[in-house]
Amino acid sequence: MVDLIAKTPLAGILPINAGETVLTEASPASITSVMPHQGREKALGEALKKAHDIGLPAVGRSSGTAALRMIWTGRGQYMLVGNKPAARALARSSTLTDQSDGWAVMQLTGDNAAQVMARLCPLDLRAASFKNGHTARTELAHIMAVVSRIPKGFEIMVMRSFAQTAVTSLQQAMDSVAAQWTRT
Amino acid sequence: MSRLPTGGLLDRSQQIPFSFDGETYLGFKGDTLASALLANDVRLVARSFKYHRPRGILTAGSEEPNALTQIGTGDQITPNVRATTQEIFRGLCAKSQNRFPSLGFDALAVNDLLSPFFSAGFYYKTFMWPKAFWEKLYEPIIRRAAGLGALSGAPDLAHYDKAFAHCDLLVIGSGPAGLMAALTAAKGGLDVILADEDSRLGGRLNSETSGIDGKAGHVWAAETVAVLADMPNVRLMSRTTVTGAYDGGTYGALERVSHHVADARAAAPLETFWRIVAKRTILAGGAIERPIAFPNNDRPGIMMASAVRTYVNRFAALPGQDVSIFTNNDDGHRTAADLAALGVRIAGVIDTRADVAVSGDYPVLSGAEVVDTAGRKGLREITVRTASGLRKIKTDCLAVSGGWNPSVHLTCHLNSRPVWREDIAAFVPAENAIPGMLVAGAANGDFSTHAALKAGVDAAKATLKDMGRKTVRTTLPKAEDTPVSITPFWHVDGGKGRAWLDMQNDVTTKDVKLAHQENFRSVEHMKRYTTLGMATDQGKTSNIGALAIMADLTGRSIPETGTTTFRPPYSPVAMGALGAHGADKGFAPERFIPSDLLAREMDGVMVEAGLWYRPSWFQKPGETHWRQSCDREVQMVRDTVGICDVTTLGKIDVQGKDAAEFLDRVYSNMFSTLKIGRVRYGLMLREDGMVMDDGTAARLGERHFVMTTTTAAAGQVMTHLDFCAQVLWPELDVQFISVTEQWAQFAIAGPKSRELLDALCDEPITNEAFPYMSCGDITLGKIKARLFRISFSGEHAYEIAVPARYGDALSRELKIRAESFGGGYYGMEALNVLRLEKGFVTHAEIHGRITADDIGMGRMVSDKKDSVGKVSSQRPGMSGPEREQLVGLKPVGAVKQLLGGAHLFNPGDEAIRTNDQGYITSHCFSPHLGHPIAQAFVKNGRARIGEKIRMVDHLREVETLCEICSPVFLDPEGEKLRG
Repeated sequence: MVDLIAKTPLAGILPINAGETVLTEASPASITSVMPHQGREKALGEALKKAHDIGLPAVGRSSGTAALRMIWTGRGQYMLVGNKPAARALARSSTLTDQSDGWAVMQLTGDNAAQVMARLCPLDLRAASFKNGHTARTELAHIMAVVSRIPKGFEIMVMRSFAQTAVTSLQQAMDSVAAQWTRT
Repeated sequence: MSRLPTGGLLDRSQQIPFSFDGETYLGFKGDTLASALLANDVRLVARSFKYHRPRGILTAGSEEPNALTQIGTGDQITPNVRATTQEIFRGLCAKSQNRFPSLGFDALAVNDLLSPFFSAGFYYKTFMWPKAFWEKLYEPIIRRAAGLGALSGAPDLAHYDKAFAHCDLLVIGSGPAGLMAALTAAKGGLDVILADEDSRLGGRLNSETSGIDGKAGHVWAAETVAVLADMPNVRLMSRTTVTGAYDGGTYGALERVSHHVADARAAAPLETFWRIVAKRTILAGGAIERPIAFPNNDRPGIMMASAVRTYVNRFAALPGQDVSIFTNNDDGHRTAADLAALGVRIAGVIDTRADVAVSGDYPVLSGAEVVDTAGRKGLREITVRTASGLRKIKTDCLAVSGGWNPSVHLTCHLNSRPVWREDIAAFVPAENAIPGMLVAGAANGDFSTHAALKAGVDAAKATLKDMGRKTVRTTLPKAEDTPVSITPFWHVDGGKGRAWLDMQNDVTTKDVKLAHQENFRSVEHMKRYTTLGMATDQGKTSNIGALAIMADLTGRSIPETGTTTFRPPYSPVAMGALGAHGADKGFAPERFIPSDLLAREMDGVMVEAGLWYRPSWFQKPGETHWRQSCDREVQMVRDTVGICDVTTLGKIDVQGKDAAEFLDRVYSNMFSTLKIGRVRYGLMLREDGMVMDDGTAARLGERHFVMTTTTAAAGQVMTHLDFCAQVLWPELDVQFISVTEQWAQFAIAGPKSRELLDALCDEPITNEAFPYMSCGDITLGKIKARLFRISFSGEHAYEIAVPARYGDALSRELKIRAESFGGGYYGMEALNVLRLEKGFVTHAEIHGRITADDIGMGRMVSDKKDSVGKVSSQRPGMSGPEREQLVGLKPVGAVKQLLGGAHLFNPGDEAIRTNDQGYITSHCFSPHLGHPIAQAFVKNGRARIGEKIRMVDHLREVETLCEICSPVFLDPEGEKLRG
């Protein structure tokens, strides 16, 4: 019987840091895409509430807690990230697809996290515009990404094959920001 | 030394050595290269563009046309750096440009003597014939003689950054107007970015002696900046030039991050190119003093009057010992007053106005003009024409003031034209020139300090109101409110010698007159004919003077004559900054396959497939040519078993009540009839009936399919499916999402593939459980995997998919097991040979102009249902003998070579376009057959199997006689597949 060893997308690559900014790999137990059946958004919302006490997030928002978050990722599409979801209960109103291996999840934290993001992502990520619970499907260094605000910085999801390039770009930006002195 | 013993905004405790043209000098922290050179009595700093005239420093800002230097050492040199904006730092190595052998003696100064030949339009008229001489003789010579800085030719190793910033209000310029605007808006709660190109915020306040609220202007500025720096909603961006205004409140800005730093850490960029998105903008960019054109007005020592004040007041550097001033307005007298206060000898103030109201403790010549100057490498003497005749005055510095031009440039970037204001004899921005932008202070023609402060407050309050914010209380600081008093005076008539307008491109008043004479009278024509304003300074000090002369000549007013168009960037931006992170690997993101590490360990030679990197072949010891590796890998698959990472193929999970119906509509063939656990090859057409993509789809459940796409078209197919589901058939209950990255997938192909799998899997793989074109779940130890019995090689083959986290481990396990059978990995080249031998197509064939019938799949467009592209595919001309059809080719003559892209002609026909019979799309050497084979499109090809056809490659000059054959060269019955 073969015994294959699992590797996370950024095993051996993260964590890295530059100055105060730290980039770590988050390895959620599960990532599941959730797509409501036609006209079943409300039913999905209720099932989600019942099973996990999470509301269905609006466009550009995420809901839930660090243990299990529901992230809006597109038209009729969400990602449940964290603990394994109650698949059976949710499947009555939505299509679930396992994406646990498809995405690399990173957390960029520290005082200069916003400065780092400003070098890679064109969105307005100021704290007042992109608050806790806000999320965006956007680009990060020309890579399609899901960027969410977390309490100490940003959570960045990119598709697994892009993970190394994303880290290379993040590392460059982190080093650049760390090397620049305080403005006068 | 011309450094004043006290004063200036310098840190005299920090003495900084730097070099210019090999000589080492000392300056202070706070000096620019220009101020430090002046303080060291260096006045000759450059040679001019065309005539190699000795030139000095004209201005104290980014508008400088003359004092361009190159910075750096070795092959890492930045050319055309303005000495007036470059701060000095320890070890700064600057050199003058465009001189040979040295700045003091420039051999090409002979051009100056030949100046009658080099006037505007000279090249156009002179170097026309003979035609061949232009490129080979004239142009190289002219290019060597003319020019500014030179590039080393080596790649720029400096690091540049690009970044984005967002704010409620962008304030451009930090003079009195900008500071008050930023302060007022910030107090009102707006998120403010204050950007200024200078290293020290404060604008003209740092250069003038008039005070604010009883303090020196620069003290008030520093205090205000300190207040702003402490506000959390304010971001100060010094050394940041806003270079362009674009749509939607977006501005380009260039930040000089480490041009001025001796020991910049390696990761710090030289420059950062910002894109600032602002809800509102206040332009407070100030004004630029303009010169007056008079004969020989380009000698070192002749500078702008405001620049003289900057050098004296801000940098404590005295540009001359015997200063004269030439002005047409009251502002010029400020320079006299400042210098007189410092005890500098004033040789005279020459005022063009007959009725000069201002006076001081210095001689004033009213109604006078400077008509000539002397001193080759530095001003020595001027000749002044007064009512009583010519008079020579000894002077080593002539400060010139022709009035001020508001910096309207940014307001014109969206095609607005500035408006002439007679009272100040200058252009000001049109109202609403840029949506969301207000203009304040000198940039709007409000030249007094009081007016600027007030305009800054007013603009900020208007912005607050416009954005629905509460207004704030402000007290306006007290400052001078001198009215503008100017009598327009553009150029001195008569006199000998040339009067220079554009110092950087060596354009004189005579050139403008010549342009007029030759009927280039529109300012845009005049600009191009004379090249005025086309140098790196974009004519900041010369445009208005030139168009005033053109107005004179044509008898029109200045507003009627108009300005040329100001376009971004406001000041030069290095290509390196615009292209930051775009070089080398930064050009596009890289996608890595699950077996990437193993492939590289195995000396796999990687090739790009879209953004993916896949191994082309695996080079074994002793193999010196890719064909050896490729042939071995092909033979290996045919004889034993080969492994290939096929993760890059698009995988789309399709689910929902109407999933089967959805697939029936997007695929040309039927999928609703596919049994669970079975796989079918599918063809997808575009709406126009051409083939879009092909692949397989597996049915995992009643309402669950996994579709595969080609690597290249994965994105296109996903977009297409989204369009179909959202726009064409929103009534279908179907959900789909990419799972390309979720699964690591490997092809296992060859006669030993089942044996390999049997050993790997927990359950034996039988022909009954997994017949050809079937699929199902299997277990690998603790892992649930998917197995598909499909083949792209013609061999008995499978594809196994595991969750991607196990991809690396499985790739290694498969290597060991394949090698135990004498097999191993194969790359893209072998994959291509295998599919060509079997007659399968790729996007080399289905290239976008190919129908299903063209590739022999016409019957795959089901007539039992409708599907995307079906109706279009049935139009006349979409199938039939008139079209080029897919066939195989094999060489039958002495020449065996087949080449991709080569065209086909009937034997005996001339190889010209009108006789074209088709072309080759793919070719390879077939180890199985022992000769090259190809796939080609040939007119009515299927009916011509067995005929001879001639391949002609016009580019590579190869001709090969071929026989048209079936594209399937191997196992046409498919016995191997089903074995």
